[in-house]
Amino acid sequence: MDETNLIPDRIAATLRQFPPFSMLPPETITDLAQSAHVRVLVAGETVWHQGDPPGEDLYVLVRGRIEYHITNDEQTEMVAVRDEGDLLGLTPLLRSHPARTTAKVVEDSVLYGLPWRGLQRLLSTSDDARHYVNRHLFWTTRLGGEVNSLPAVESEGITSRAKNILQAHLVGGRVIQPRSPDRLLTCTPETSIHDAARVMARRRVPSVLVVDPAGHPLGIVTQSGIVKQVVAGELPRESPVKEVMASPVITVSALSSATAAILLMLRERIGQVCVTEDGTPDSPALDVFTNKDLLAQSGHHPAGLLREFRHARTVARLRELCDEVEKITGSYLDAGVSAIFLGQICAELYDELIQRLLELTTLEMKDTGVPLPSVPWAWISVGSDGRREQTLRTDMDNALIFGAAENAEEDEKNRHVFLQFTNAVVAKMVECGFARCQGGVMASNPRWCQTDQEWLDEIKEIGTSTEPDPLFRGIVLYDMRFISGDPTIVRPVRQAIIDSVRSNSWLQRRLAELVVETPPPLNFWGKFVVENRGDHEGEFDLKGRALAPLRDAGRLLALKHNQLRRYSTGGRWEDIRRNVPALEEMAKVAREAYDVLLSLRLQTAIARQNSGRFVDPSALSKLEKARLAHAFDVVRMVQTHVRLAFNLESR
Amino acid sequence: MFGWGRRKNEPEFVRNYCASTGRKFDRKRSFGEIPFVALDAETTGFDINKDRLLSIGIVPLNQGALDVANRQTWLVQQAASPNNEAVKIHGIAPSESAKGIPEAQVLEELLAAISGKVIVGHHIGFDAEIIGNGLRRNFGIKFRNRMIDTSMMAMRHLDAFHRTGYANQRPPGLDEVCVHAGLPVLGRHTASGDAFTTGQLFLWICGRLRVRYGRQLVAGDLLK
Repeated sequence: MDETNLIPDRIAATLRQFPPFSMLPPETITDLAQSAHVRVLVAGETVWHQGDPPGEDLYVLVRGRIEYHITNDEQTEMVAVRDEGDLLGLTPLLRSHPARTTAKVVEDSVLYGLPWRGLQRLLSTSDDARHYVNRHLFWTTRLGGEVNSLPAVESEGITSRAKNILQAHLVGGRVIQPRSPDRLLTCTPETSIHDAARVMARRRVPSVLVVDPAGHPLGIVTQSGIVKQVVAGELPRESPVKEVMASPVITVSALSSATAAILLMLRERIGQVCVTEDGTPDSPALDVFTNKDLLAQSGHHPAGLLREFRHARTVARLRELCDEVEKITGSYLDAGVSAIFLGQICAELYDELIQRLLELTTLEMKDTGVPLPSVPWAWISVGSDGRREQTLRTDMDNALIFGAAENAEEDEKNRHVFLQFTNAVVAKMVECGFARCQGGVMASNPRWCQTDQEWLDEIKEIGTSTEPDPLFRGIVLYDMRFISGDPTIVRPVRQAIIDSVRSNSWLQRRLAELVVETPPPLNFWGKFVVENRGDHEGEFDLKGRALAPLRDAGRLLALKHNQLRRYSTGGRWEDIRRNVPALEEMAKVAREAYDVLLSLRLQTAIARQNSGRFVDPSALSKLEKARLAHAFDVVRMVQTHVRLAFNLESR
Repeated sequence: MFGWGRRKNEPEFVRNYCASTGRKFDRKRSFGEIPFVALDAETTGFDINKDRLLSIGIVPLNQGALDVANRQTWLVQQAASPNNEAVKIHGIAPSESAKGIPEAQVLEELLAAISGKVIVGHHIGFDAEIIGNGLRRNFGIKFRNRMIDTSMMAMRHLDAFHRTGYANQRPPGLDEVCVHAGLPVLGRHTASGDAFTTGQLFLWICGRLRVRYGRQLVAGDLLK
């Protein structure tokens, strides 16, 4: 029994339970533990005093509880609490500044001191661990302190994440299934290029397989080969295909992984892969797949689903596809894909769904003898749908704009037909699993099915009305996004909405008030404040308290700074970060925080099969808690900015 | 200069040890300046006269922190290591012991590591006797370090382990005190694990004393 490393191994095992150490390579933690300094302090002692210079070590609190106190003008107040797994003394070390707080032990504590230099080097090489530490640092903003982030060694890599996305695909990965053999297009080596090209054109395929009498693949004739050799080159089109075919043929066997085949094609830089009986060119060819075919076959891939949506003929099939989207969302979320990014993927898919539903309904109307009026119309998404955040089928938010006719009478007649249309579409959406909007924000509601003129008149009113209802309608409309129909009819309406806010500072202030209305569920001491009444007692309202302020602030600042290219909250913050230098840092952390919050909401929603609006803090892991606490600090920071920028009185 | 009866041809490390390690200590010396070293030994049994060392683990305690980087551990080669009840506790079988380092060499290295330091151990009296026997056998010297026994500290300073006057009361075991203190126990019945755990316990009791006295500790608080 060799006990040389017994102590550091045990220390390392303890450290690895906690972030950021859990995110670093295990062997580096063992190295770090070799030079640990272990301290034991009892309740009533102090780890350091306000004004003490930083030492050499960063402390990890392994057991116990420590409070940070600040003394100003003989007034002492507690500003933060650290418990098991927290890092101590990071800020002074990072800044080489004396401690701003006094760290008091309130429960007997065991501390592992780790050499800061070694740790700093480690952190600079791990993105995840560094981001965790950077978030951890954020609590000092509660003291009005500035934040110094740890720098990265190299540019932010996506390798670790990409691996996870790949894994997500492999989980749902399917095998290649050859289609019926008569689908396969073949010719002999002696066939003329012209004949081969004619067949390709007729069958609308990008290649012909050249086979020997036994059906073994010899080569493949592709469009690009013909273009290169015949169209751009000197080869006459009467020459045999063996002159232009690519050979040997890259082959895979049936029942191999579709994803692996795609990777093979990427690596070989080819557009087609041939499936043979045993996977080698020395057996009969079964099918030829393009990368598009494979994407569509690889199951959990969004590209495959998009195609399926396009080809679905019944609402029942569309419903199945929606369920599939939700499954993909779950596996992507597990793989750590950004929730903002997921929202974009889902928006594309759901847009395709609505497009398809509109097509189906248009046909139905025509069949029943009530065709749509001949005025231009457009289906638009508003609210969360408009912001591309409808990752799960929560409730729908949509509206219809149609062109005004000569007179009001004609408008009413058109509205009557359009309402029939929208009611049918909404009913189909409900069949697909979307809930009807509680607030009635649906194109089937006459108030959300209006002519462009009516919309413009209403928008004018939002700017001057003091009632809450028009303001609510306005907010929903600020996020409008064109889905289908005639885009030209939407543009003037959207422009009118934007102008109505930009020229109206009174309206801006009202919107700003909404942003700061709800404080984040984190008190000054970094503890979660939970709802204390109603069904959700003991939980906190993630949507109302954290997502909403960031979302509203993003919208307001995007309007103010004229960053209107993007529709999603994530995209808005991204654009603000790039184009408004004064807000760069804030927009960056706001986007990250929004992403974290959105992911958490989605995870809760999937786990609990509801909207994910309420979160139980005791159900969160240490890491999630830390992320959330950071996100709330960001919310507070954004709210403070909005308060100053829009001259709201501090409260 | 080394007192009476000392042989002139002693090896240098023995002389160094004897010169720098003594019973005298400045009672006013502050806690942070005292060089402590937590020590634990596993032995072939519980008979002071018969049993031998199997392994020793030490962890230095500097400025109130256990210094993991400078820990040391030795597996001692004992030709006559018996396969008895004690093996079940420490898990060092005779075959294992055979892979160790000869006793004389271990003790030489040990002397260099603990020279001039205050030894902290749980039931340290027994370990010290066994090590002392080894020192006498090999080098003809005594175990000279000042020692602090955490089990005695627990009896003296912690209400839960105070002397009750009950005749059969024994000083509390390491596990007992650690459970009371809420401290993690690391690798029980391995020399280095017990040394580490004892070191943590020592720091904890010292913390208690600091809070009780409302001041930093000095040597006089710990060494009578």
